[in-house]
Amino acid sequence: MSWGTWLFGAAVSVVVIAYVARPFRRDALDVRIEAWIAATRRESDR
Amino acid sequence: MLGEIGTYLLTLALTLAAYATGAALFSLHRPDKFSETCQVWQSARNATYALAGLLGGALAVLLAGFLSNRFELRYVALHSATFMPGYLKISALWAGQEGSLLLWGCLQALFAALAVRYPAEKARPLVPWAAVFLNLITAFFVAVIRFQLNPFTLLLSAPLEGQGLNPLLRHPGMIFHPPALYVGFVALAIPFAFGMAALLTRCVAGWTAALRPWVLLAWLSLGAGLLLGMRWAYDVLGWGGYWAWDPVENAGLLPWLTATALLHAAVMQDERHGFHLWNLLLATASFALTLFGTFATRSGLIESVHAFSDSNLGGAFLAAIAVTLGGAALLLYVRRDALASGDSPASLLSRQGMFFLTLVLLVTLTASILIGSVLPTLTEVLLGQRFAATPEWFDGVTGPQLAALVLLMGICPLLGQTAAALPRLRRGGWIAPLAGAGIVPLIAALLSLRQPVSLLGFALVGLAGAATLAEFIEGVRRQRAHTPDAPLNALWQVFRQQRRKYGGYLVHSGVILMAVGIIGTRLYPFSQDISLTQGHPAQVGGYTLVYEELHREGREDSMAFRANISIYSEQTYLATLQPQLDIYHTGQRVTTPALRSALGEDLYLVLAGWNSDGSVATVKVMRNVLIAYLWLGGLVLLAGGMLAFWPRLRHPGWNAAALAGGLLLLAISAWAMWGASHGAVVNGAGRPLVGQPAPDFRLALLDGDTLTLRDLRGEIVVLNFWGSWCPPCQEELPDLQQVWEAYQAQPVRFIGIAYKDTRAGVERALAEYGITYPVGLDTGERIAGQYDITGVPETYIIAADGTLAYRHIGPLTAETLAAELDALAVHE
Repeated sequence: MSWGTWLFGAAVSVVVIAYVARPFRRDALDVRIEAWIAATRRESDR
Repeated sequence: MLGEIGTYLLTLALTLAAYATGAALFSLHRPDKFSETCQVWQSARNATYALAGLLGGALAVLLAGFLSNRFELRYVALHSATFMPGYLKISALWAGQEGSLLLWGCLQALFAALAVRYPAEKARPLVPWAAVFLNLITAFFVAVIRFQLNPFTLLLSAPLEGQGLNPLLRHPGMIFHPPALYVGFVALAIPFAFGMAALLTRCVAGWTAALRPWVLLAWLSLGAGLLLGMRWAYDVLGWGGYWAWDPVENAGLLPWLTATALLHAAVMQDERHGFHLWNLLLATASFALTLFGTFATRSGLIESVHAFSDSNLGGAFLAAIAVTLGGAALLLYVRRDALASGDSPASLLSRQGMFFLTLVLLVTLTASILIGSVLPTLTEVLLGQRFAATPEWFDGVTGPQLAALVLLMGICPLLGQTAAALPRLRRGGWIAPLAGAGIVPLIAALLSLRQPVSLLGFALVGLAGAATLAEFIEGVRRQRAHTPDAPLNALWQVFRQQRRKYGGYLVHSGVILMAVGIIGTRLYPFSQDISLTQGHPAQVGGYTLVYEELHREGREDSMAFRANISIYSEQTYLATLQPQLDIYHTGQRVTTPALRSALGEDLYLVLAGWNSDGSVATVKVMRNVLIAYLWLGGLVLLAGGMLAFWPRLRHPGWNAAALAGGLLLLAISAWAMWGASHGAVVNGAGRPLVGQPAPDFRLALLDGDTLTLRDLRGEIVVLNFWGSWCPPCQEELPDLQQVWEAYQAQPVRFIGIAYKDTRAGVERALAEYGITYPVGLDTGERIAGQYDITGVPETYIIAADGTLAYRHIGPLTAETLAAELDALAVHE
């Protein structure tokens, strides 16, 4: 396997892991605020 | 490098699918489950989105491999070649099972992400459980792709050129047909996942809100895919039909039938809060049937003309079907208390009763086709003797059920929603359907379609068609009673205000039109093989066929042979059909039939062979009665479906995008059917046949005189098209001169018409061969066009009354010409 392939694989893995683990890295307050914003948006869309 | 990256993306996708399933499942045991604040659920949701991205990336890598001719990838080497145009390289992506499964997996992940991201409000509590099922399904597909059918498998040494796409798949219909079917198959996984989630959470009342857009998408895509597939079979396979009841064809039809039933049952659940069990069973059956379709195509166990060869996927898909059906049955049993509702209809003679009968018929129709598809294999394995489910068997079993469905379409509008139906019937609501049931068979009988079974079919079609039409008229009448709109405006308002009802009637109209096509094609088949000699008219099935010539054309990977055959009906020229046969360097022969479409019937020609010098061609001639109604009905059905079930989306922009997408889908389907010429060209008024008046012309002769054919009435005229540049023409000139000299004393005139020639060239040839009869130049190939000549030399004999008496393509001998002139003189 070439260095380029290794590098590409590692980069994709890091991005995916960071995205999937994102909810665990935030404060509980952030999560609640985001949930409130999402609910408010849904309400206004209706 | 592309192969390694692709395989890596698949491995990462499989890991992520397992994580997404596990995390969604774990989130259900958290105290804050179903909540936006649940971090595990949010992570599972992100993993679901990322999965779609990873599989999309894998598909993009494979596409890059095709576009850049990376033949070190085994899959690319098997299905592509450098000379293939870009659009075929894109469609080659799903030409084999590795690529088609990757596309399937990618769509599965994408739809799962969309279903999780944009659930219907009522179905929001079901999303985590639905995500568990959807990610599990994606994981199954990715595992199969990664470990059994990896499209990124590398060859030990890369060939310089690929094998190219199977010639049968190089058709516009085949570019859209497989993805349309896959979209349909994948979309049916969503209702199943939400159905199981509804059972697990005991929320069976509101889950139909989640299923309708997905079932509609599946229904439309499968419908369009099936229609395109039928048209591909008709245009490319060269057997004259559109549906052979092949197990793989049936595999696409079965989930479409259950999706149709599911759409009806969902309406009933919304309106009457019943049919819970029906909806769950139909959602499960639809999903299981999509797996069955894959099993049928890829297991190698079911014999089919469409199946992928050397496949070993049967076990995996059989296990998936067993787990799906077993798990769903267990869940339905455990949650049977949640399903207790008014599922049974109050009375069969009500709208609800009619819906119930429709569901029963659609299910029996599905079961009949499924049994016919698997019975040959089952009987062979279990009894050692194969039960042959022939197309006739399928026609016999499904025909009466389709007739019953059409009858229901006729009766249902008469019953209406409520008891108001009875007064309407008394007011004369029964007159239109009864008149339709009488008029349509009468018209059919007048058109010589008089088989008793077909007359019964036409009566049902007339009844249902008139009942549906009466509904439209009644709707417009009521609308105009409120506002004084013009009829067309009123019709538009009716559609706008009651989309589901009138869109549904449009779907019924489509089915009724298709039924007309099915009756015509199945009950009035006509097929005949015939050998045609160049220039000699032959009568087949009420048409006169004149074989003109055979064209040969060398291509990069094949030789194309095209026969030109002029078609006449009662002496009137209709068109010139050009059936083609391509012989590839690999030895594969691919026919491209030519057809002339009309509302009454299609004339369909297939070139089967020819003799060594191309003077005799063998063609298969077929007449497909009323087939245009089948294609028209298919389009009406799709348009009606879109109108009836399209949900009102949140943003106006999305609605516009959805409308544009739907219109594009219809436009593609319509183009496939009527846009392309299908090997038919019309050459002016066509070549005159023997017995028809010879086209009049004016010819400027080389000696300065002008000659008009009309002025030669009363004399026999020999008209010879020739060219000084053409060796066979030079060969026959002495023979023509010899006969001209012999018949000079008789009322016979010879005229030479020089085709695509120069004055100097003609004069040189005339001097060389000592030609003394009058000759002129056909400036602009005007006269050649009037006679629609195939080439030179070509000779016509025109009788004294001005009608064409004889025609000969190619060089003519003095003996033949003299014999024809003698015969004509004796006759006159």
